[in-house]
Amino acid sequence: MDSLLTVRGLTKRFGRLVALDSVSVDFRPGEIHAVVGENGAGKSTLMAHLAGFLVPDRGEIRLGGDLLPAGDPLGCRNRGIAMVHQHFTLVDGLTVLENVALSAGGRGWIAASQLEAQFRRLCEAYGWELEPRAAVASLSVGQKQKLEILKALWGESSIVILDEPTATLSETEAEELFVLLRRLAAEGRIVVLIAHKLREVLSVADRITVLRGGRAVRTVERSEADERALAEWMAGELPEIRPGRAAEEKPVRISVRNLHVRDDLGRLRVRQVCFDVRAGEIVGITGVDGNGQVELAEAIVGIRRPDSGQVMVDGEPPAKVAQSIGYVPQDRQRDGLSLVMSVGDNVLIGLRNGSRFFRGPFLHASSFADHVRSLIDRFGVRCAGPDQTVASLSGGNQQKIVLARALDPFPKVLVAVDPTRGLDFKATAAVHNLLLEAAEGGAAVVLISGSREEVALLANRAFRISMGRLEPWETAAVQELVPC
Amino acid sequence: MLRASGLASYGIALAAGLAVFALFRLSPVQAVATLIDGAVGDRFAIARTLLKATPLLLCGLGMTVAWRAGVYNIGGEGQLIAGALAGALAFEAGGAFAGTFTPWLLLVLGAFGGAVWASLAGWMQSYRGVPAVITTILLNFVMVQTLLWLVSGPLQDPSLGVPLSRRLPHDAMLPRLDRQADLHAGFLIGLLLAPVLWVILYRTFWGLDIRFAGSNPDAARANRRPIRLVQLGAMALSGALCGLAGGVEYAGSLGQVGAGISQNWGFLAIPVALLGGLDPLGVVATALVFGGLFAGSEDLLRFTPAGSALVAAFQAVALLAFVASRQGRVKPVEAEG
Ligand SMILES: Nc1ncnc2c1ncn2[C@@H]1O[C@H](COP(=O)(O)OP(=O)(O)OP(=O)(O)O)[C@@H](O)[C@H]1O
Ligand SMILES: [Mg+2]
Repeated sequence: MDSLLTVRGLTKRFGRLVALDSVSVDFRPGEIHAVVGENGAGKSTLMAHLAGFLVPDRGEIRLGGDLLPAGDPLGCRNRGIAMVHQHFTLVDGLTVLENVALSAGGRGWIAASQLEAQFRRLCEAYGWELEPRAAVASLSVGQKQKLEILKALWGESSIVILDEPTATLSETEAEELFVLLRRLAAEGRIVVLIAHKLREVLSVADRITVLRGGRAVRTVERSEADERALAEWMAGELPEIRPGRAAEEKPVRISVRNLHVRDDLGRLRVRQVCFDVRAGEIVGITGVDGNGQVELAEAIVGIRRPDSGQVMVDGEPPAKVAQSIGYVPQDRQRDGLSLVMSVGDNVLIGLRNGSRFFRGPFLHASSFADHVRSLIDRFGVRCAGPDQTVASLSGGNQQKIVLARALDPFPKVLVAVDPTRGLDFKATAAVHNLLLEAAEGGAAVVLISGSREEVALLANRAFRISMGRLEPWETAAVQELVPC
Repeated sequence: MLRASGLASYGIALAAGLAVFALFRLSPVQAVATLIDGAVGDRFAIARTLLKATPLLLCGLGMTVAWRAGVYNIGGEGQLIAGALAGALAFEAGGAFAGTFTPWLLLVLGAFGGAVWASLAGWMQSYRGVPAVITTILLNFVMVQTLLWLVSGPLQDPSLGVPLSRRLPHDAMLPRLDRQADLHAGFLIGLLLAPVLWVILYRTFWGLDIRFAGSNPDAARANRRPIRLVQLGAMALSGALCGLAGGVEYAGSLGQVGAGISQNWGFLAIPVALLGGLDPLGVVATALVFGGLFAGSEDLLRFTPAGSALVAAFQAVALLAFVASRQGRVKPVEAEG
């Protein structure tokens, strides 16, 4: 179990893009090794090589002196390398337990009762509540993330790779995960962790490797780094957040009255919710994921019919004024994007007031492509251009497409669920500034976020959501908070 | 897994097909020469290839729209028949009247008939939640039986002892492009519609909606697109194209409706569309290849000792080999990261 994982001169090109440029780094048994970098820096690509999903153009990876079988994920898994991917790899139509069985592998009959017993033992050990017979489709994003982690820890793995596991967890849940990771490391495993929140990284990692534009800039002990230094190595600067201003008394844009909403399975997820959002105001809603956030957001934007009660946007039912509502869904890959389609197509589908790019029914392709290029520029999307398929973008860059679409032009009403999920600190700050700017421009913003800090930082008023009910939440003073 | 490049898969298909001949001690060399000669050997051969490609092209385009929208239409056959019958019924009802506009009217009616028949399945998927895969298969059975009943009853030409409808007079048929080779305007219609469909798919909002609905319906919904309506519309257009193929066969090639109005064109259109990458321009290419195969096979039947069973086996083996060697080249319909 106690062998070194060494990466030497790893180089990977995608067409003309050099995603990894001669990267060398060691991962030592017993350490939590964090990998940080901007969106598109090559973190996930590096991890995909460690777990055997990609074949490098040059360079090698050795585990305890032996070459890892490149391009053979199963072989890597058999050598004890487990990976939690940045995006879910779950089968929605199967149950929790079936998903575990699927990834655990094996042949012949499935020993269901044995699996279930082991599953329950693990859940208990980690203090997680996951119903083994529940359908995965009914899980919240946070629960899905835990299931992914369980899957990775299932067999005896000596190396555990986690690509942004905390992006979908609340602060408390992330803390719990870190306790678990420390225990895994103490047992002599290698834990490789990707995270964007630098404070998280500094609190949990033993060593930190910084990637920048595909190069490993440096690897440092935790004691040698602080937030400012990390940020500088990653991007060269630290962003600034302009604090929001208190909203004046402007007209009410969104009014939610006595709202009850059910999910697809008919469970009542939003109960008796009442609130107003005025023009120029950001109303924050925070809470542990799976407490009705998604259903509430969908009801406000008009894609989920309320069970009872009503939502009005500018005095109309939301479905009628869809053109003035910007929406950032929580799960970019499920509800936001079509991965097989191009960046341009994915912008176009969500574009509000896109008629200027049409001549009659026909798209004016070149002027629209110019527009997409300007969005790519403005939002700092790392991609080859409007025609690249979204599947080949890094996670954070996919998120930027969803944001660009919702924020340009500024909508009159914006509903954003975890808008900065997967963004690096610079892009996060940019999005925060955009939300503030949108509000200043007169938009009514509903910010639903698992990050209490984000809500405290941006919201004029805030609520906590729990079991589908809202209660007022006093935000901490902004000065005490760190932006990332 | 064996994966062949575009050209190689044609070679593999041919080789596999010819193996069937070798198995029965017939000369593969002679067979391949006959096949190619029958497909592109002279003006008549080319005309026949284009004739066979026509219904495949139209139905293939039809399959393309529906499948791109995530509505898995298996009912091209029924929709083609519906299109032909719509024309034949109108012709009969109008007292067999014929004028210069008649063939075009028959095509419009064909498209309309196919669209109505397909919309039935589209409506059931969009608003009743029944997958089109199931309904279109069942509707095929219904339409085939309806055809058999009509041509041996109300539509049967009383002067004929066989189940065939009244023959269209000459001036009620589509104009011929080549009088000797029997090639009619139907192929040009298909050739024209392919780029039109491409523009619809890639340059209009409806086309964008269609591609989104097919690749990630959840995202289409979150972007507040009217996905049910989009899919219903795609299905109607799909049926219209298949129905048009029926109209073209009726008013172009056959001139009357009988049990043999379709040579499984509606089913063969599915591999044509998939191998064409569910792309209108790709479908033109595969329809031509399939057309050539069927045209060439007719010469195999005529000029070699191979019987019809062997030729059918040859076609099936060649197509299977073609499909299998192109595995992985088909564009994914569902989103997968
Ligand atoms: N299959 C692919 N084809 C083309 N380009 C790709 C492919 N996979 C990754 N890339 C590109 O490689 C670069 C690095 O991507 P990677 O996913 O490793 O970034 P990352 O550091 O994980 O970013 P994020 O924080 O956004 O997840 C990106 O610019 C991405 O667009
Ligand atoms: Mg990544």
